[in-house]
Amino acid sequence: MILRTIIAVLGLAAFHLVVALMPSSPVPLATNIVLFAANLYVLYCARFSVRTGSSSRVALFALGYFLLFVLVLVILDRESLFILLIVVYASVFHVPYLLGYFVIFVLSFVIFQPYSAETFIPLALVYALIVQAGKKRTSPFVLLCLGVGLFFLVLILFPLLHLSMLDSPRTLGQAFGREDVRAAIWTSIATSSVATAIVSLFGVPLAYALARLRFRGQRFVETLIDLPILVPQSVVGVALLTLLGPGSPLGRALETHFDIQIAGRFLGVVLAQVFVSSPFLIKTAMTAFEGVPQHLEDAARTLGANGRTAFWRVSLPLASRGVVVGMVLAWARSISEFGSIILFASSPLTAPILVHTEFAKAGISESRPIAVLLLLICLWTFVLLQFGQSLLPKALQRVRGLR
Amino acid sequence: MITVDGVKQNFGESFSLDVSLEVLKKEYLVLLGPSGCGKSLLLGAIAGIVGIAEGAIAVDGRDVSDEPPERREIGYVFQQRALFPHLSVIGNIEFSLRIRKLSPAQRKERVDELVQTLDLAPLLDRPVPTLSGGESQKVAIARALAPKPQILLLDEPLSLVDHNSRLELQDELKRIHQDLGITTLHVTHNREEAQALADRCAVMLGGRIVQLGKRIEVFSRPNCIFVDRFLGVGSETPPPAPGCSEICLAGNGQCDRPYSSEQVASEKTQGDEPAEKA
Repeated sequence: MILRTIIAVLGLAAFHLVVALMPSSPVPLATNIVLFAANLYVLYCARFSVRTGSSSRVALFALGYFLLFVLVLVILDRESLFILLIVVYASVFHVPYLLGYFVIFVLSFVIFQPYSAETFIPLALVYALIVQAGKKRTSPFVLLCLGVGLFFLVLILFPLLHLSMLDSPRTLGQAFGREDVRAAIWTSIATSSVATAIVSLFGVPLAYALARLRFRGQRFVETLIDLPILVPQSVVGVALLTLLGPGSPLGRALETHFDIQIAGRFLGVVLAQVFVSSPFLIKTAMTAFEGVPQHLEDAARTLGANGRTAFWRVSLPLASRGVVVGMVLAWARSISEFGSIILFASSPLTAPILVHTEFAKAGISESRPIAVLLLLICLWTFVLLQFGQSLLPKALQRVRGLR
Repeated sequence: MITVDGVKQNFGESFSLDVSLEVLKKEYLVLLGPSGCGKSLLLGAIAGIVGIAEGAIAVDGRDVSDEPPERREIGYVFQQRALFPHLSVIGNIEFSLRIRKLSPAQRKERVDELVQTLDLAPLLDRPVPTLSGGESQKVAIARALAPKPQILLLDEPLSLVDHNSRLELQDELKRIHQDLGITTLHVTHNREEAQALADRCAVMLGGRIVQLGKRIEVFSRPNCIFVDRFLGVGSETPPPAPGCSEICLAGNGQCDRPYSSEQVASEKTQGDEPAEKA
């Protein structure tokens, strides 16, 4: 063992000597000495792999080293980075969990250099999720499926992440300081909330009825619910404008007799949002109500609750998580609506429309901070609402687990 | 106490319920039958959670056929327990009391009574989803008894319980019945339960009652080959009734024995005798 160690150290020293004595040395002497020290450390770490006796492990270690060498030293020609990386590499090689992070780090900060932060964060997150999910005796295939799926998710979210990395807090603050930006964001939040309230008021009863009843034509009703997802947003806008626009008989009648204007007003924005967001709430709430077993409601009935009381005391509390998820989705869909609103109710300005008009007026650099601001606000509201759910009864999952 | 008069309902092409039955005041009647014979459906029909097409159901002489379940004042214990997972054990027990708008003091009094009767004190702080089969069944029984019903319907109350708890719960049911004198209809496929608990037994097959009588009588003198086999009596069975082709022996849960009105009548007169106490 000692003999082998001495041979290895001497071999390494000889190699570095040869490199130093080469007529046109590729590395300066000082770097060469530091490199020698780093390589000694790598050798010191590698001895564990050698000692375990598994030749494939040694080969893997060597391969990783070689790849780093080719990538950083030969292609990128950055000696100091290489020294840093091989030291870290040798240190973490024995901990597969950390090695994964190391690979991701190299990928993000060396290969995808201009996009380092926005690739490192999601990739590290995906890796952490997979490692965490794989702790129990899970089939590797399922983990692979998870990995592929999450990677796809990262690809989808990448433009958003990249966007949110570009602007400094200062430009965001400037954008937020503008009166019209604040008004547009406020309009967006207010209209979406009103739209969600309206959809809930009618959608929750419908969802409950559809989950509890079986009647002919039910499939037809369920298809109708999905219709707004299918219809292009511009078509929705044109349809609403045709029906309620200032030139239409209904629009004119409403305006002259009741002094209600819809197109181009707050109400118009809400109407367009209600139209496009209703399927999300109804479908989600339906699934939630279907998850409440019928026999729980029967039990409530035999205990003296009438249909209405059974709904308020049993079905709704048990479905509340699903209903709230549906409301969050409907709210999110409302705030993101653009196509129908720009046709039907382009004033008051909502934030998505402001992003568009700014882009049309002044180009990407002007509209980007507003876009980022909108993104951040939506994201945080979404996160907060999702978190809020955990305060509701957990019953749904538990009941499923029992059955 | 409960009169089921010619109740009929079709469930799809192949199965229909067709039952007449009289449950006597304060008796413990066990409804026995193989799975899929319609015994739970009959129980649901009495409680009002299963609709009926024909016939009438009366409770204590009052026709409840058109009453919704909440106005029938019948305690029902579900096979799946059906405890409310979002409520505590106490919340489950006092569910019916809250609906009846009892004051907190009254509720507490009633819950304390039930906790004592069923020895539930150790369970009160446990979340409902963590209760074992036997424990959740006790809570379910307490919940059904809370509004002081005259009638208790038990749907396979001992089927999801391990053996030891089953014997314990069986004693508990017997004690509750004796202490409260509550009319009990107990549905099961297990003949030992019937032997341990029943005053009278009814055997069901293919949506109809094939034999009804005092427990001892049913177990010693099965009136057809199916009852004989199902109860494992192995006695000398009477010849098949006219029109019976012993189709039940094929094991697909059908019975083509003509269901004569005289039979119902004879069962009714039998019912007029005082029920034998177990």
